[in-house]
Amino acid sequence: MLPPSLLRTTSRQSRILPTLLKGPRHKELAQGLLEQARSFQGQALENLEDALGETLEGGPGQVIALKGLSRVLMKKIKTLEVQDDVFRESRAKTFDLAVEAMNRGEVSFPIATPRDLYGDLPGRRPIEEIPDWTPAQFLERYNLELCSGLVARASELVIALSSPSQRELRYLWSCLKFFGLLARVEEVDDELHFRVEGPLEGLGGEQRYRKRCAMLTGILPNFERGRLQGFVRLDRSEGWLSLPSRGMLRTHYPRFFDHTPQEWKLFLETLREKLPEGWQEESSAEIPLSSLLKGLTPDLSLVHRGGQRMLIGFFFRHQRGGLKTFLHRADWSGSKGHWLLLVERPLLEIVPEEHRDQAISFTSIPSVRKVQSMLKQWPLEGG
Amino acid sequence: MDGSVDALTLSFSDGSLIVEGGLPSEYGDVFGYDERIGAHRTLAGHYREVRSRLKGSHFKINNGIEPFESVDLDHISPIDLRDYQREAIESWRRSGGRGLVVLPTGSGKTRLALEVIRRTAKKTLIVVPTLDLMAQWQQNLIDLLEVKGGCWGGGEHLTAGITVSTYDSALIHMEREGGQFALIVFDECHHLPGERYRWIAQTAVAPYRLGLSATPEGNDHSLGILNRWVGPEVYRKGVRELEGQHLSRYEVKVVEVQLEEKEQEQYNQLGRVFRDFLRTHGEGSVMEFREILAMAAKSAEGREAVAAWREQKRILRESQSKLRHLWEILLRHREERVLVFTADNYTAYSIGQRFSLPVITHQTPVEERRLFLQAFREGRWPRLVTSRVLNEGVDVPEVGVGVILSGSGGVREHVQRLGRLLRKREGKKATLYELISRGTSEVGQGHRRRLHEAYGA
Repeated sequence: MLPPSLLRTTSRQSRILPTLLKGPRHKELAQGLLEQARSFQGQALENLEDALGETLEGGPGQVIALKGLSRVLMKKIKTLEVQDDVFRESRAKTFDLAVEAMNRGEVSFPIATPRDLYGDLPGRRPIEEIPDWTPAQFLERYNLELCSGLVARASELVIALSSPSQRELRYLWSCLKFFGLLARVEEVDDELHFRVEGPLEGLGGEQRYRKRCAMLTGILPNFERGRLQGFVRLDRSEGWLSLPSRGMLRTHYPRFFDHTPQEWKLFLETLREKLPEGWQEESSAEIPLSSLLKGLTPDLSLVHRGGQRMLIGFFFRHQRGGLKTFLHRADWSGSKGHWLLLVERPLLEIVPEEHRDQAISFTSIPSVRKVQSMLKQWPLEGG
Repeated sequence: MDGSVDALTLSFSDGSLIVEGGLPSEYGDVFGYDERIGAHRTLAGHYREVRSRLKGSHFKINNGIEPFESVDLDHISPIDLRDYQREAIESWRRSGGRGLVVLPTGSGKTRLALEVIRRTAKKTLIVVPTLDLMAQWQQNLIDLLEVKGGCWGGGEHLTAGITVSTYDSALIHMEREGGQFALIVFDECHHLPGERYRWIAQTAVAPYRLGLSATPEGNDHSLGILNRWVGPEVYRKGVRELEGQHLSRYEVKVVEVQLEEKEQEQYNQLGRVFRDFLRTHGEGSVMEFREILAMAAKSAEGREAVAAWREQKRILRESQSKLRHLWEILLRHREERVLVFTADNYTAYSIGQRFSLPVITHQTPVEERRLFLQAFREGRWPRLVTSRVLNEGVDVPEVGVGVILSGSGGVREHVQRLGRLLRKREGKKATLYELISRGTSEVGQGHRRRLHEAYGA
């Protein structure tokens, strides 16, 4: 996300709009920067940094836009791996020689040293790879970083979804949990509003969650009809954030799994392959509104051909707040399904004793075997 | 009354203290009701106060936070302390095990804190600003308490009976792990009041807190935060009080250096460009530098003025006369350990390159940083250049000479840099050189940073 000094916005009535880069003139700018960067292939990264610094001209808006574009580009440039040990050895040898020479009183100012004693510093490494973006892709990335920067400055953050699919709801829920956030869900007209907050909301910790909230900007384009709203205070203006429609915010995080912890991803893939006979994943199963409003969205819904359902809630150790909320609101079993919690071990202690048989703890990866075993027993007991 | 006793359950969650049960309204000044979890919640840092208030109440308390885990230090003998260190511990104890101890660098704050840890013998977290200090604390734990401490930082995360963490790592982990420590030692605690780092103190339950610093001075707001979340200042001794007996004797030599004629001409010309712009556009108002930059960005003239200001900085940074003087100092003190401080990494590496000297900045890999410090201590490479990462805490008693080539106008940085030279060694008299370009902004900057008792102010 872009830092506050690089956020370009305009105010309209009580709204703050990001100044997106989208026209042919901006594409030319992007093209120019990309070409300039590509001409530095093989040279030290700091040479490109200096050169980009020198091209900052034009009106104040354009200078800030160029700085923002440069920042987005520099972040994605890869430099060559250098042989650190060769540099280290060369340095050690040089220092020894320099000390000996100085002790003999032989040196005069300045000393001759190897051409690049510290050539392994990150800025001095040769550029290996410049992103192969088109100017349009470059601008999309810039626009997303700009919007994320604004969301990071926003309070009263709400994700509004209009007629979301069940898959979208599960996706949003998993993302909120992954970032260690909570949400109050409300039905407003024909939309569902997820008021995003952190566990310590109201205790002076709001600032703490801003960065995590900003990460949500990147998932927004995954929703057919979704928008993000919040109140932004900038140095010289404040107002309700008005982010562009989905089309303007194409994202380079197109899939949920880009946000999924490896452990959970591995578990899901293995479980899907090894579901016991009669069970299948029910990704489109409708989540009742009453559950949604309580914030009880399963990460995974399984259904047995006999009709029994198992709802799986997954909690890493940094999701203690989410688990507490769940425990306060959960209907552990009933017509909607039986809950099974997969919780990282330190969280097991907060699951009440009477529900420990519905929880599986794990240290790194949840055990597929244990879940299989529960699935094999459950329909018989619960059916 | 039916004779039943109301029960309250205290637990730690997400950096907060949670109370389940019917908490009476008089606790509303500390707690808020969190309807998401159906319980009362407050910042974990209030634990000590809450515990004390509930102690005298009629509630039956199920305390899920205590007892804190003990650390087996019974076999460790009391650490030898100087009189003032004993007095400091006694003051801290009288203040209920909370508070700030202000002592100069080199006077043994770490030793004092280790004795506090030994006496407390409960699970402890030590928070330090840099990886170098973390390594140093861990070595001290082994040497004086025979404990291999846990470590949060530098890519490691291992919690033990006594754990050492950087401020940055503590900030990440405290929300999850802040419920287990009885004692937190905030080394160089003047970092704590920052908007981010104060969160560390707010999200930990630790009823016992010790802040250590040579330079806690700040504005009222910062001191208020230290007072609230660590405790009041309980003990203070200045550099001059300990110089000679417990700290090395020292002298500060301010060396005014004349820029070369060409450099000076260019510097003055650029200064005029910047001043003319301010005179025309600033309308005599007092502006923060940030505001000046924002104003300057709006016009070509303004941008030219800022470019001129930057160029002035470059001239000062790369001044040939300064480098010549630095070289003379290095030659003069070729038998001693010399630490050279710069304001930025660029200058540090330029000097390293030019004079074939080891440089330590935040970019230096951990392994090489250890090698450089070890070689410096042992005298193999007796000259070391650094920007700011060695400003604080690193213990190198052998350093006899410091050279400040450039820096901020801040008193704290200057006192901390002087502190690197003050560790006592038999017969040592430390010298701190401050190289200042005559007739430039560095003169005023140098004057501002010497406003401390250590410099006779």
